[in-house]
Amino acid sequence: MDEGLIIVVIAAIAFIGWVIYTYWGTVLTIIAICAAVAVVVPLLVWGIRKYVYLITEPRVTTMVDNGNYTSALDELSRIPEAGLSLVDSTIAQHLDEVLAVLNQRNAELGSEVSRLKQNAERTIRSTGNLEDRLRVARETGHSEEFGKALIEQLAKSYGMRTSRE
Amino acid sequence: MSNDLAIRKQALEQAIRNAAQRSGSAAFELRMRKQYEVALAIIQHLELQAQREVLLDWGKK
Repeated sequence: MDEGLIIVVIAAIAFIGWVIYTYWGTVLTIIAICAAVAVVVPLLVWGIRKYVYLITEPRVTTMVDNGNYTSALDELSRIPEAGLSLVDSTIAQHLDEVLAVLNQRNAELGSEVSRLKQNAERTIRSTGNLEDRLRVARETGHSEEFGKALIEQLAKSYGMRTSRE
Repeated sequence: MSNDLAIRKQALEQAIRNAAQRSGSAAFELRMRKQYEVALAIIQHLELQAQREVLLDWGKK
């Protein structure tokens, strides 16, 4: 090993020893502060990440209010495990409010869908040529699986044959 | 139910089952149940919206 390097290392060790010997009170204080920071900072980060959701939880409510249902669904799956009964109970209350809103909207939308289905049924019932209707629906890009299924289901319910059969 | 919604529903059910198994807290289980109910309500809403759009679209043709 290079002699110069050995001298530098010994000098550094001697200097550190002198600093500790002379200012041991200050050194101990700095070490204690570092240790406290090393413990407290991760705990703070952990706590904030875990419990800040109490504040951010209404994001699901906001998303539902704004009609961002897909985002709300994603947000729901991201709610972290709180581990505190108080936090979990509060989140459950938030979710209860969202659920009430959703149930009301679903009831209104369900009524509208039901009315539209009845209209569609009346249309099919009054139309003699179902095969033509199915063909036109397919040709006009009526490619939604639900749409096809609905038309076929309606057709079957009136004893009509569809082109899939 | 569309494939996308079915996959989301399955993933959500699995996540909730896993989380509920890990915890022994009644409050946490209640929260998870509410979470699941809200998710199902959202899925139902999305399905109703899709049905409505298809029916409206179909009615126009």
